[in-house]
Amino acid sequence: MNNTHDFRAKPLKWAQVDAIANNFRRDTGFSVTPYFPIVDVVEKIIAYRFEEIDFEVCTDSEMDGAYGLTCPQGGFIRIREDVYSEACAGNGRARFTVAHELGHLLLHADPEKPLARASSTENLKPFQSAESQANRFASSLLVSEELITSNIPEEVAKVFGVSNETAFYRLKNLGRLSS
Amino acid sequence: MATIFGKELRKLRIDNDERLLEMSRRIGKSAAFISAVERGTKKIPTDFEEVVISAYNLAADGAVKLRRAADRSRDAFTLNANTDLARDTAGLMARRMSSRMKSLSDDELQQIIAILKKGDQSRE
Repeated sequence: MNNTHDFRAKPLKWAQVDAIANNFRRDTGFSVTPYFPIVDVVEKIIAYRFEEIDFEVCTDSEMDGAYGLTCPQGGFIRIREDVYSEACAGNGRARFTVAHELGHLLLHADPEKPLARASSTENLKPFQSAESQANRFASSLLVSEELITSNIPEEVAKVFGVSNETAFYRLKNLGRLSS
Repeated sequence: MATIFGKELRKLRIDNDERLLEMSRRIGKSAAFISAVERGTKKIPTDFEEVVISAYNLAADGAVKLRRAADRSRDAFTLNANTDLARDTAGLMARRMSSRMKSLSDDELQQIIAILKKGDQSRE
């Protein structure tokens, strides 16, 4: 992810982020299906059900190069067009980007008080960094701990539709990596 | 924020259980372009709504609604003319209409709409 601009978020324990991701998975009806159709859910469920949230696909120049962008007030999620079509086609990295933006929407968007941008000299701890929290949310949502049946990253990556890298770190963080 | 036309396009996707990707394939425009039209960053191209109407086989009601939404999200309209004479006529007509449009009352505009609608019916 692009970490050059981070935001100071309300501190969250990873268990809290995981609970939000798990609840979201359950509420959208995917508590037993490993592969989470992130684009469908974000585009159809979020944006179609809540009229005030727009799902937008933008060109590289409109995005200023960013993969994804979430309105701090929660008005929209924007995804770069190439990332969008890759995510639709099942690419793990692109799917992660969409899940990451959903994380920002659910964890950080606030119409009243949008997050303050962290200064570049500020050293944010992961639990108070908006970027780290959104990444944690994305891997927790896409690779549901309860549904992991393998300790081999490549297998997990395939079943859950994430990159090998995401699967590796997810297993490592959960202490379930084969060694 | 989506325009009125953008909201209609979104509604069309919901009704057909589609994402931007499927709509983009169906009407042959990129997802980023449709998205920009929806939020009003890009102007709705002339006949864009006609492409959508035929791609989705919209019945009379749906077609009327989509055309109206498109028109209400536009502030400029295109009149095609293929010969010099037609272009002279179109130019004069557009100029005269533009300058008079502002001074017409709602009643007068309603009368114009009624006349245009009558013309549509007799042609069909």
